[in-house]
Amino acid sequence: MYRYDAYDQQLVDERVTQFRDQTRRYLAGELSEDEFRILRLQNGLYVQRHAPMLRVAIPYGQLSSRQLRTLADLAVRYDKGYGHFTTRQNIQFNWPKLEDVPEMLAELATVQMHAIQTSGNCIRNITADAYAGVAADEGVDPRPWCELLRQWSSFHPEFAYLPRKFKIAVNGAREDRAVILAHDIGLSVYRDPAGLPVFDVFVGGGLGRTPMIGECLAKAIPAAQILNYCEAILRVYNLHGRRDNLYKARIKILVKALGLEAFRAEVDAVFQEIKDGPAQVTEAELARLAAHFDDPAYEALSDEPALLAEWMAHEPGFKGWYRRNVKAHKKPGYAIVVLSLKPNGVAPGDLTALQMNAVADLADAYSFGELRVAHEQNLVLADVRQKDLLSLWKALVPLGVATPNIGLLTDLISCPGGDFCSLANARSIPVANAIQDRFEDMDYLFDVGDIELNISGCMNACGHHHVGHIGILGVDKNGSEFYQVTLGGRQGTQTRIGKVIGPSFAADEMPEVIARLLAVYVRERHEGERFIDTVDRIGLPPFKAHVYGEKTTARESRHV
Amino acid sequence: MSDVIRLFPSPRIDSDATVFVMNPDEPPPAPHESENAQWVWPLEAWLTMDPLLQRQCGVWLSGEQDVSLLAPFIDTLPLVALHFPAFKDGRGYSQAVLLRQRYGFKGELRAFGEVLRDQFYYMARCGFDVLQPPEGRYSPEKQQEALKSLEDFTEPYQGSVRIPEPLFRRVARPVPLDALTTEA
Repeated sequence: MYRYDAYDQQLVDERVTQFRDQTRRYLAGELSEDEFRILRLQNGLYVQRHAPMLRVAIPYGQLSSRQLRTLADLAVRYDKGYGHFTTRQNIQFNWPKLEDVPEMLAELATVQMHAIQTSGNCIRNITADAYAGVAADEGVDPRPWCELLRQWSSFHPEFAYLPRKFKIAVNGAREDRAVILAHDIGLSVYRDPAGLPVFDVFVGGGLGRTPMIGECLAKAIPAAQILNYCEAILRVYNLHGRRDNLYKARIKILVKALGLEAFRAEVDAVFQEIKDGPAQVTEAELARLAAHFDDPAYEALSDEPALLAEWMAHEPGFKGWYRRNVKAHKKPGYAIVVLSLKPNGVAPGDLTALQMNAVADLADAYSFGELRVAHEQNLVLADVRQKDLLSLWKALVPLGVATPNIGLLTDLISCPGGDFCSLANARSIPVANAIQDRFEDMDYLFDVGDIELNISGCMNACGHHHVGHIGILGVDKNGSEFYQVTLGGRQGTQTRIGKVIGPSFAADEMPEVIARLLAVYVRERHEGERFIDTVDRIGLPPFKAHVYGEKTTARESRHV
Repeated sequence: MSDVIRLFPSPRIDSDATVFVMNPDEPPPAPHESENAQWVWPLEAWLTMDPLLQRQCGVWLSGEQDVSLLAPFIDTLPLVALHFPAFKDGRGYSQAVLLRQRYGFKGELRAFGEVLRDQFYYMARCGFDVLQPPEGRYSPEKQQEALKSLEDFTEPYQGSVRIPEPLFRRVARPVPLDALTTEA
C-alpha cells in the first residue's frame, strides 16, 4: 500500500489549512454560497437532502486497518455512527456539520487520508480492481499507476475547472473488474512483446443521461508517457468541452461531436508537442511507486483442498460462504475474501462504526492489516491464508458481513437514492431491501447463480444501472416514484448498456418484476448458462412478455 | 485606476490604468488618450488594427477563442489578457499554458473578469503574471490577505509553466524502509 512521504503529507496538511480558511471566510460572509460551493465540492463536501455529505477518498480502493479505525471514529464523533461505501471506492458520511468538516479533514490527514477532488468539475478518484495485486488473471498491477495518476491529478492547476467531472479507471487484468469502458478515460495496462508496460487508452465512456461505451483512442502508449498523454486529453477537453449545457458537458459528448478521428488528431497535436518534456515519468519514480506495492510477506504455503472439503462437509453454512465469498488468489495457500455489505434490510454498502472497528481487527489478524473497497460496495480482505478461512468466517458471521451472496441477486449495487440524495428522482434503498426480502431463500439464489442487479435513483446512474444485467432506474412520473427496468447490460471487457424493457413500475411491484425475470431465466436456461447468457441468447421478448403479462404464445403457455 | 496583483518579482498590489474595451465597435483611442493608459482590445478588433497600434494595445480573448491567432504577433504583443466570465469557466487556464509553452509568449499575461482569491494559486502556476479581480471585490486589506493564497502549497506534485519539472524530477524521493513491510 502506498505510504506518504514528507511531500505527500505536506500537501494534504496544506490542503487542510487552505480549506479551513476557505470555510472561515465563507462563514464570515467573505465568500458567497456559489463561490464556496466550488471550493467545498473540491473537498468532497456536498449539501444534500437532509444534511451535508462528506465523500472521503479511498484511492483506488486501498485502505489500511488504521485508516478504517479512523473512519469509524469520525463516524461516531461527527456523524451517526456509520459510513457508506460507494461505486467509486470512496466512503461517504451522510450527516456531518459543515463547520466540523475542516476538523474531520485534519484528523483524516493524520492517517494519510483526504477528501481532495472527490467532487466538483475536476479529476476524481482514480479507481481500480478490488483484487489488484492478488488476482490470478492479473498481468500488470494497476496500483502503482493509479498512485502515479493520483499525484498527477491532485491540485493540477490547469484542470480544476473542467466543463464537468472527470473519472479515470485502470485495469491490469485479463478480466476488467474496474469497468474502464464506462469511464472518461479508461486505461488498460499490460506488457508489450518486449515485456515493457504499455497502455491502451479508452476515452468517452460514461453512464448517466447518455450512457456510452469508451472508444479506443490509442494503443500501446509507453508507460513513461502516460501522464503526457492524459494531459493532452484533458487539455483538449478543457478547451473544447461544452460549457453551455450541464447534460452535454462530459468528454463523451465532445468525442461524439468531433468524431473519434478528429478528437484523436487534436490530442495527438498536443501530445507531440509535450511528449519530450519533463513530465515523462522517470525510471526512479516508477521504481519508487512500484516498491510500495511489493508483495506482503507471504508464507510458502500449499492449497488446502482437504481441509476445505472437511469444513464444507461439517461446518453448517461454511460451504455457501466459501463458494460465493471466497475467490482464487495468485499465491498457493491464500484466498481473497469478500465481506458482503449486503445483508437483507441494510442499505447496501453501509457499515457501522462497530463493524468497522471489528473488521479492522480482522484485517490485522488475517490480511496484513489491509483491505480494499470494491465498486460493488463490498469490502475485500485480499490475502487470507486458506487455513484461516474457517476461523475468519466464524468471526465475520456475528458481524453481519458474511451473507453468502457475493455475485448473487442480493449482492446488488444501489446508490443512496432519494432517502439521502437531493439529485434523486426516487428512493432506491427501500426497493433494494424489498427485493432482498422477497428473495430470502438462499437455495433459490444459489440456483439462479451469478447475476448483477444495479439500482440508481436517477439518471446520474451512480448505481451503475446501465451496466447491470438487470438495471433499475428511479424516475419521477407526475411527482410519484416509478422504476424503469433495463436488461442485458454488462461490465467488463464486453461492457454493454442495458435496454429498457417497457413502461415503468411502482415501487411495490418491483419484487414481483424481478421474480418474473428470474422465472423466465429458470424456465429457458440451458446447461451452464448464467442469467446474462440466457438474456443474450433469447433476447428481451420472452422477458417482456412474462413481466407485462401479455398474451403468451401457445408454446410459451405450455411452460407456465 | 484598478488594483491588480503583480506576481513578479514578488507578489504585490499595484494600481493600474488598463482600460478594457469590452465592445469591439468602440472607436480606437486618440493618441493622447492612450498615453497614460494601456488599452486592451477584443481579439477580432485587434487583429484588424494597424500594426503600429497593435504594438501599443493589448489584446484580450474569451474562452472559446483560438490563441493560435496570436502566433504571428507573439514577440511584439505588449499584453494578453484572458477573460474569465465566471470563475468556474476554466478555459483560460489552458489558454494561458498554450500561450506560454506552445507559443513562447514572454509578455504580460493577465487574468481578468471573475478572478477571485481562491483561483490565484492555480492561475499563477498556469503562467499568468498579473491577476485582476473584479473592481471593488476586495478592500485593500482583503487584497493584502488574498496574496497569502499564492503560497498555499509548497511543493506541488506537478510542474508549472515557470518550473516545468514535476516533483519526481525536482526532488529525490527515496523509498522508505517501512514501505516494504506493513503497519501493525
